[in-house]
Amino acid sequence: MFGEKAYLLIKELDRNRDSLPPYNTELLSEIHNEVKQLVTENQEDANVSEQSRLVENVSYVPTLKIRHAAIKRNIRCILAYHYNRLKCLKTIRWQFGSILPPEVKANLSQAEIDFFSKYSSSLMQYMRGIGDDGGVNLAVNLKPPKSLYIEVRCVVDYGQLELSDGSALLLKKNSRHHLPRTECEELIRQGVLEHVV
Amino acid sequence: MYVEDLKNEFYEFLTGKRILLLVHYDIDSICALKILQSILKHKEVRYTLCVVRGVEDLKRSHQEHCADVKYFVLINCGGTVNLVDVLEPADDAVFFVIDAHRPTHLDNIFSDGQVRLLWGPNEDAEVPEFQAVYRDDSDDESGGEDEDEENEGEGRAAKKRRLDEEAIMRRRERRLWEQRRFDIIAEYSQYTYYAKASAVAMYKLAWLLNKDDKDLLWLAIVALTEQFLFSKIENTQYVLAAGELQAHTTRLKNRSNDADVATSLKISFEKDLKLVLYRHWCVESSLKYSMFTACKMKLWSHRGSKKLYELLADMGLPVAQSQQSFESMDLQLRKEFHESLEKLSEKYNLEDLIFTSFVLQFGYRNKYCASDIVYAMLAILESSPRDKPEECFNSALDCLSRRHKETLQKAIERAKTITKTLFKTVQAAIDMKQIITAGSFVYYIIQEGSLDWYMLSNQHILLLLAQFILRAYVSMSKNKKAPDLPLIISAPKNLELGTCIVLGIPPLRQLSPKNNLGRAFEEAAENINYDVLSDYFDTSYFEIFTKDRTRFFDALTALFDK
Repeated sequence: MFGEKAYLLIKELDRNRDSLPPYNTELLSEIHNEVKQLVTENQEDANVSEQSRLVENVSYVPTLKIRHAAIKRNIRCILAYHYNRLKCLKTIRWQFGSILPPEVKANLSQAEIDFFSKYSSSLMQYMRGIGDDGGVNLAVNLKPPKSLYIEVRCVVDYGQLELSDGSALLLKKNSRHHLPRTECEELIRQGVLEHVV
Repeated sequence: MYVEDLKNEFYEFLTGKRILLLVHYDIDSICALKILQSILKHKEVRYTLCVVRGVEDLKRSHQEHCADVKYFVLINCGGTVNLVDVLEPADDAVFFVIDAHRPTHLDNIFSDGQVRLLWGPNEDAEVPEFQAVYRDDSDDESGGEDEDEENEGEGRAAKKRRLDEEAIMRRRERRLWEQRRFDIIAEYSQYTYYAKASAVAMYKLAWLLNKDDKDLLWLAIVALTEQFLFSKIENTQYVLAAGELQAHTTRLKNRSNDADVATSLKISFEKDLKLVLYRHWCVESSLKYSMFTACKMKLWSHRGSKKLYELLADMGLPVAQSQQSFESMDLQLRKEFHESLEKLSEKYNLEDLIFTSFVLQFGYRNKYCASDIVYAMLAILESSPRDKPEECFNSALDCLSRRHKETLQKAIERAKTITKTLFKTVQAAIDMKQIITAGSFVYYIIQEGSLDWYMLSNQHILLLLAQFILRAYVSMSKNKKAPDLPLIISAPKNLELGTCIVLGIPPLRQLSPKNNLGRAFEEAAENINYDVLSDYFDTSYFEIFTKDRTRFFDALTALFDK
């Protein structure tokens, strides 16, 4: 059945919606071979049809049309596969930063790794250009923050925290503080502080 | 030093600075804290919050933070103690104090800028003159020296005699002055009482800054109701303050779009009954366990419960309906509940059942009156033996924000248990005649090992219990002097250390809540040469070792008999 392997490819991508499965080189080469075979068969039949038009009027046009549809289907599936993987890569860049964790890197093809580094560098160039004083790291907050200062509650006993103006802050369990957002974000991500709404 | 221009000298002053908020562990300070937090959000202030339960906690929190923080804001703590002496702060530290406890310590009033009180001098009654209490000692010495130089010409012996006489006169005068000073201070600080709630003062500041809204107004209302329910202020004071808050309610009413029921917040000023949590409970339980009705109708006795059923029958409320929760009663009965009670109040000796209060309504199902919220917060703060104070504090802050409805519901359930426990304790006390008269006062001791003692070792629940017991005792006693006797109640506080907490409340006949039992405790402790452990900001609470309790009470009896 034409297009079955392409269907398997898409199903594999669907099964791993949030993560990237390894780059399925064999399946892709099988589909590639199938497409090549279809193209060659089509060419032969097209030549035969062309030649026989003048002599016997043997027409393979319906066959040609079916094979052409199968070729287009395979190509569409391959394109969708690559496009979705790249989309996943982009979200990974926004979430984890420009260094890829080795498990993810093992699943990528060389072309995807190249794409990732080029995407990363153009993103960095853009972020450096906006805002004054060295640029804004947009990956920190995907939605714009509403206030400069936030109220946080300390969840574990952390000890002394050095603030950017040099003074120290004692973080005990269950203590509440009202601090600038920039000081707290790191600790909120680590789970030491909890943002109180 | 008094700070009257709160906007410039307090609010604008704190912009951009790093401050430490020291908050006392009670309902009024939590409400004041929330109001202050919402107005400080607009200024870039970095603050840290510390919960303080007594003078020791205050010292400890100050120690931990004094290296980094220069500005301290004390809410409902520290007004009555000499801050500079107790905390020994750095010279450039500044303390802003907003406190409802009175009398304010004289050193705080006459401080020259280090301690700033956020109210006006008209709210402190009968403050003695500066000259009467403080005196420049160097005046004495310099007077002596001047005289020395002038009289160089005189003969030695004559000069010596005169100097001796003058020295004796000065010393005598000084002794008299000190004696007078001691008397003045004793008279100034003998009564402890409460003034305007801190949350109400904070709300006024928010109003001045035009940043007030219904949320903050509701917080001020809750704090005021707390003072009224625990009899910390007189009736007239409550009515005046409630009148002011009512003016704010009407002013804020037209601002937002109240027509949309699902999202609007409505505060209305209505008549309310002195029944505990009746909207969230069943009528019979609420009537039975509330202090007011229980004492007037003596509901712990068999005759009393029969009277209760009579009252229900007179109101036209079938017993089955009265045992269901209030929300599931018939609509007609619910609507007429207030009026039928009002009509029958005279017959059953229930005058003063009605008082004016505020009701909050948001969404379709949520209708709470101010006293409900007060009891719920009391339940959170004081009835969980296992939770640490900071966690309870956080839950209480959650409960006030309307997003955490389950916290509020659970707290209301716990408040019902507390009310039932109080009633049962009083019932047991009266049945087993454990309320003992000692001549000029009445006392009641809660033994260790009785059920729920941990609940009763907290300040405000103990206060409620004390008031309940005194009223019950007066209603049951045939002694004509009963309404004139103060009550002293003692409950175990810390089983490991073997300490217990002692509270004294003034007699029923005294309408004003001014309490001079704190002074009596101090004197009794001095008489028996006892080392005082008292840590509380409200001096009518005292902490002693359980083994010394009998000696202490004997000393008190001797003191009162004098």
